[in-house]
Amino acid sequence: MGGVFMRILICLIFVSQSNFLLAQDTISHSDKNIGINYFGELGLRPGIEIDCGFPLWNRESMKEKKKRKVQQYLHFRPSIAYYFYARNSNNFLLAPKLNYQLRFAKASNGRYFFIESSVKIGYLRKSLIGEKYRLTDGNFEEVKRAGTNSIVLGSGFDFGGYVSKSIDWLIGFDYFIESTQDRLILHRFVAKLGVRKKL
Amino acid sequence: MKKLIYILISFLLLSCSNSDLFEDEARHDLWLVHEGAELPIVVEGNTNSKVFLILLHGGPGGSSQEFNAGSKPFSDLIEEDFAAVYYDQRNAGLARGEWDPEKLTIEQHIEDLDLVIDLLYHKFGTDIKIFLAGHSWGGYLGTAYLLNEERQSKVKAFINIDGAIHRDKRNRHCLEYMIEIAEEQIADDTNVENWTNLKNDAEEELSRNVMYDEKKESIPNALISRSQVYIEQDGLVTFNSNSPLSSAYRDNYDPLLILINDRKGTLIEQMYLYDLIIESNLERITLPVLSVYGKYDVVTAFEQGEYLLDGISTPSQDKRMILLEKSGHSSMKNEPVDLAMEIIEWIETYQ
Repeated sequence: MGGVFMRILICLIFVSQSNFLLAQDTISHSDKNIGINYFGELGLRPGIEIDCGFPLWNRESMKEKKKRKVQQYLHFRPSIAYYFYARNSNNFLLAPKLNYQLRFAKASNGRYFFIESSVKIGYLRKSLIGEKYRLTDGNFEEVKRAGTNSIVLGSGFDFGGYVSKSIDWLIGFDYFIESTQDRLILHRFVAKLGVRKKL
Repeated sequence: MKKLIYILISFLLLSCSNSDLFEDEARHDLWLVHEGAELPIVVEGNTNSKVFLILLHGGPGGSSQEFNAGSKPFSDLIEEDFAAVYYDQRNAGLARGEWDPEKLTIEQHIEDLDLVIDLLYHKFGTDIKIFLAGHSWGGYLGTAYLLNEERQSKVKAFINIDGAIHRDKRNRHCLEYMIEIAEEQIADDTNVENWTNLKNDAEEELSRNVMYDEKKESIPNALISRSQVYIEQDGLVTFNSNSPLSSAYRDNYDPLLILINDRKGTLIEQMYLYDLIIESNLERITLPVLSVYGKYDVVTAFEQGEYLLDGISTPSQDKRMILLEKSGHSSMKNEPVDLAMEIIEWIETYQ
């Protein structure tokens, strides 16, 4: 039963990733961006994340006294990440995120600082590193593509700011729960450092 | 150009040859996929020796990392002389796969271990020598594995480290032994109030003459925890271990997984029934057996090791009991060097 539920959920994640990408073509192209981040599980297990931001909603207000603009954005951010767990597994994470950004911009020069939070649901594939064997008809045979599948559910907090008109910097922390095939709930922590380029 | 092609072909052939298998500092990451489980087997150390020491972790639900990530003074010494085999049992440690409580049985663990041994022979050749060591529950599993002559023939010798060999007797052994330690400490005028209270509580528990099962173990287990605190407070055991944190990045140690993947299922309940099988078949064990216990091990008192040695048919010159003077239940963390040296000496005798 759990396996069927997992398969359905994985399909939904794939569909939502591609569906949203296509659907965004009809919405404003302003402030679309692509991000590339160092994605360190437990901080130092090295990895990389590529994500793409599609604006769903935005709002802007002016703080006249402080001569500052406050902008709010809601982005849909499909992401794909890979991280390496030494001598254990290669990990691939596919996760659409919903990302709320609060941006404080100086009215004079347009430079800004932002904080954002996100929620995500995703699919994690662990591909085991090493030689994998199975006993078949009394003989050991090597198994290809052994690994495990998990559903992840998580949230994140990032902050970042202006580098140039088209580039932002970003530091972030993600936490996600990994619900595994062997019915474990694992807690994962990720540190991120990256840049975003406006498209 | 031809020369270059020859060099390349030779390089490829050499890189695929057996010489990679046998090195002074080898590392092989293997997985055994069996009955829904994906069992990690890490072979590390001197494979050139052709001596492989399989380390069975405790628990049930522990991890072989107890011998490695946090016990480098122990594992470094073992790996210098032999190949250490760190194997995580199903639904424990770094093992993955599917969760099936029906497969969490002693018989399945024996079958898994048998396949791990067969896989080592398959991978490294039939001329290697395999030694088996088990800590705590691993001692129980190792003993259960060796009850069959065919399985026993695959192993050169057994090292029982703080093993719980008879679950039922273990409760009484522990209570009796903690009373003995309490009396020594009271006579020594150390921590008198705590030890006196503990002694009274242990004596009261013993006088109840309980037929133990998994649920009724909670009282002796609580007394064991208390006595371990006093043992540490009184400095009766030493610690020589390292932080496992660096292994989380350089090695396959995953603290978050190990913490949660600690599933006993009904294994402890099963041990109470399996005790009878062990008791009636212990005499089938004829191979050399070394029992090593911490002098202050109140989790599995040394009587458990004596029970094993008394019950097996191994000639007396090939079985030995050793007490480590400053150790509790985890001698690889208390006196790792002494434990490693005893194991190395034992293996060198029987390799």
